[in-house]
Amino acid sequence: MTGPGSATPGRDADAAVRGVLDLSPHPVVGVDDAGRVVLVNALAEQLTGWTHDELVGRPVEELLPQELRGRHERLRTAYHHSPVRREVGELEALRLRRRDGSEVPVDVALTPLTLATGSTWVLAALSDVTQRLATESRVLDLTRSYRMLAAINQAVLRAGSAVDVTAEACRVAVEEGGFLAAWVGRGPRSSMTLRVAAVAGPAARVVGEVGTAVRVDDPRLSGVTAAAVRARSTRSWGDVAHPFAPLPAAAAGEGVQDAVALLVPTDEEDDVVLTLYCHRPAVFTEELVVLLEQVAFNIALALDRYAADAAVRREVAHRRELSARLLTAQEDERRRLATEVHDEPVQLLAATELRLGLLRRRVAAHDPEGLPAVDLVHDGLRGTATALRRLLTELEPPRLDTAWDEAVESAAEQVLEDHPTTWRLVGGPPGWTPETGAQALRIVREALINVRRHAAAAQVVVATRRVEGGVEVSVTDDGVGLADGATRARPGHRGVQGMQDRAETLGGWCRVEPGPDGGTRVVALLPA
Amino acid sequence: MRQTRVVIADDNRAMRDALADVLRSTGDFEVVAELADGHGLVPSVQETGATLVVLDVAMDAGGQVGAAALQALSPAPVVVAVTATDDHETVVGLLEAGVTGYFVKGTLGDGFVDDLLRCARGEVILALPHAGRALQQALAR
Repeated sequence: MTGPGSATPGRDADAAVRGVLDLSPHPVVGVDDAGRVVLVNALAEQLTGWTHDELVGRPVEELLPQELRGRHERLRTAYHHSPVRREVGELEALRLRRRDGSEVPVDVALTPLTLATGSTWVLAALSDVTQRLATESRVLDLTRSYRMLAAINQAVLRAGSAVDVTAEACRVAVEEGGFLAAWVGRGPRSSMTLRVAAVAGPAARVVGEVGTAVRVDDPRLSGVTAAAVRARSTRSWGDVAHPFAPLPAAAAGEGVQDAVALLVPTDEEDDVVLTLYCHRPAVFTEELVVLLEQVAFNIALALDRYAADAAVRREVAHRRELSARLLTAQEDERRRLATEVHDEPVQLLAATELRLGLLRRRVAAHDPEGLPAVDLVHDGLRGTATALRRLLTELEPPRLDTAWDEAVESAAEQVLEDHPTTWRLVGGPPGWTPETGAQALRIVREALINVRRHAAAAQVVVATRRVEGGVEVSVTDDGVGLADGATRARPGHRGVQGMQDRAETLGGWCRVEPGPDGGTRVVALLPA
Repeated sequence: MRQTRVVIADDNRAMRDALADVLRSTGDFEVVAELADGHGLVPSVQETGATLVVLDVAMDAGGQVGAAALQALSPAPVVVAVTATDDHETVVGLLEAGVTGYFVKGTLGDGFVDDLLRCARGEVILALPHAGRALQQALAR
């Protein structure tokens, strides 16, 4: 080792330069063209733990960890051939070895200084970047997490089903969040057995395939999922184990260094847990966890939304099925009634009426004074027979094989037979399936029956027109109009509920409303 | 005057009996067969030489089926529907099948025997509302 100041232009100059460098906000180490330390300012003394006098004359490589020394020496030699100024941060971070053997990451800025003697010193300004690197890494993690959060939110919005939500969340966590694996498990509360709802990432095999049941307290897993289920809150590896304890071998074998399990707080009865595996240790800081919990929360919102949608759809389907069943039961009952009415009362009445005709002829021939009495009975009998036949008509299911306008004409003819209300048909054939047509005809018939019974109308118009989503059928009369509250089903007006049930069974709707010019309008939209 | 030979087909006993009694009451008709469905119509008409059939509609092999089968005979009898069914399609169908009389049960009145006699002579009597439209439609087919 060379003695202090042996290659210097003079101790005074040396001292003067040191004085200047002590004012620098950075630790500075001066090195001569042979790579020996020639200057160390006060901050550099603090940083390295060495004094100026201890360092001067020593090879600068002694300030580096052993494994970096050879490479540094080559770079330094090359730099001395063409020395240029380099800014702080321009070089990749170097590690400085302190007197106590500890290391610290530093940025280095180099300034060449050509002396009057012709030799060149290089002043190396150092910055301790421990803090900055840690911050950068944290910012990087947070940035990535923010990006992931945004991406998951988008993916969740785009997802078409609850299954898609979890699958997309895992995919995005791996692709955007850079996690080794992400999985969502779901199972009965606190059962410790979750079914894998979705899984993604290169370390996915630690978990298993979608659909398999996983014991979350299985010692091969990280243990964070089980801990989170037990605690009913987020748990990372740092929470469940001694900070330096290794993760289970299976997870570690996939390169997993840290893990976090987040409860997905859905409204449903199950435990839903999102678990993330990372390739770096101690990643899941409080800040990051808060962010990830937001991700879990958003996933929960999406899952709840789909659950609610599904519940509504189930409810609608259930109602529709119920309506259909009710209608079928009603049709069966009506058919049975129709058969019974047709087979017995109508026939007996008809036979009696026929015999009464014979009786009348005899009375007319032999006892004309008795005729009015016979006619009275006869009229009553005819009235009853007609009413029964009308009931039959109402009870019988419509035929499916008839053209729409024919069917409506027939229905109107039958329903309004012997009634002063006239009818008119507007609009062409609607072009729907026979089943829809049959229900539409039923609705029209019910509406016409209501017109006959309640409306006292001069005219009724049955109209069809194509609209978006199907065919609109309307029955509009110019009668007395609706009593208050008559637009909804009520006891005694079974017809209104029946019309609504029929429309809903087909996925349409039906309502009763005041007509445009007084009177009443029944309007139904039926998908076609 | 020669009696008109009639076959009555109706699945209701009370109705069948009433028809038979009423037809026999005037001496213009001879009821040669009473059937409870439409299956025996053709042989019955062939065997008895009946020229008039009173046909119920809502019964086995009755209505349009029975009328069409009878229409295929030569000579074909006059077929008169006496029925509780009066919907448009049924009326049109029966007219197409060759029915020339149509009466609705419960509204036959004391003139029924005379009406039937006129039908037997070849007149067309469609004794129900809106029969005209049904006839036009049957003719248009």
